[in-house]
Amino acid sequence: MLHQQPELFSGLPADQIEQALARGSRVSLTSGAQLFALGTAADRIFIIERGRIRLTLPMQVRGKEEDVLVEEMGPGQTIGWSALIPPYRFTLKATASVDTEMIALPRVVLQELFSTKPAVGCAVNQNVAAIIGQRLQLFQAMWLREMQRMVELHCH
Amino acid sequence: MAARFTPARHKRRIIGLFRAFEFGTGRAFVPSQKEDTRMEMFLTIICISLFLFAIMALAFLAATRSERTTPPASLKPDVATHLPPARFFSDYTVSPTVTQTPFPIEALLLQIDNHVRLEHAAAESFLFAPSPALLHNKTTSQLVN
Repeated sequence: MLHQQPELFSGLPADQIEQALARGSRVSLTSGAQLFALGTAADRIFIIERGRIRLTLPMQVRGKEEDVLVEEMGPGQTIGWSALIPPYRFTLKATASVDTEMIALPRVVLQELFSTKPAVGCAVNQNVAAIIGQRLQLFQAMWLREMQRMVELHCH
Repeated sequence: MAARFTPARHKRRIIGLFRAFEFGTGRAFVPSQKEDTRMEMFLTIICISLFLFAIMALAFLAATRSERTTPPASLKPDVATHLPPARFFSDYTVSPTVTQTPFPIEALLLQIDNHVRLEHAAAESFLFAPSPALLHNKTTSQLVN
């Protein structure tokens, strides 16, 4: 049972959240284990129940490819929304920072739920849009800060 | 019969030459006003032509110089071939001097990690209350300081 309301089901009544979560399966990862790799097919969306997941991108550091942190997610947060958005490919690599427990919801199962309960589908889609929008705004701000630094470096 | 050479005659001849240079001889060519103007025009045209030729020569040299200083691609040292293939979001070449720095890579990765966390936090506070000041405030990250 989740200790806090998952952001994916925000705005839904508790019984509907329970029904949706009941359709998922529990996934356990030990510290350092990989959940998914960049570019692989995304067919499940994950809700963190306990632990932390590092989202990374490969970066060349001194000629070697290293996973550089992009974002770290904690309990209640959603990972792998690429499973609901075409072309259904993960755009990051996800690894457990510590021992982590999650609930995995397959896309097919969610689509079935949405067809039977459109209100749930509408709420989930709104929440996914909010998650994506927040990340976009966040990275927009981070990008601008980096650009600002670059401009300052070039001007001094 | 040829006149005999005497110092007095020689002296007179030299003085005569000087006078000829000073005042001109009776047969000296004295150009008219019209011819003078023609000569001025001729000289002006020659000067302008030379000036234009010099400018064109300089322009030509400047144009060909940039071509000569850029060596053909085949002559460039092929740094990229010694580096790993370009990856997603990491398509750039690494200077060999950078790879030889003694600073441990683990420490560098930790700095990057810390930098991302700080920037993430800064961006989150900007989203919470958007303002230009929050967007432009300085970071304490060691990676960039």
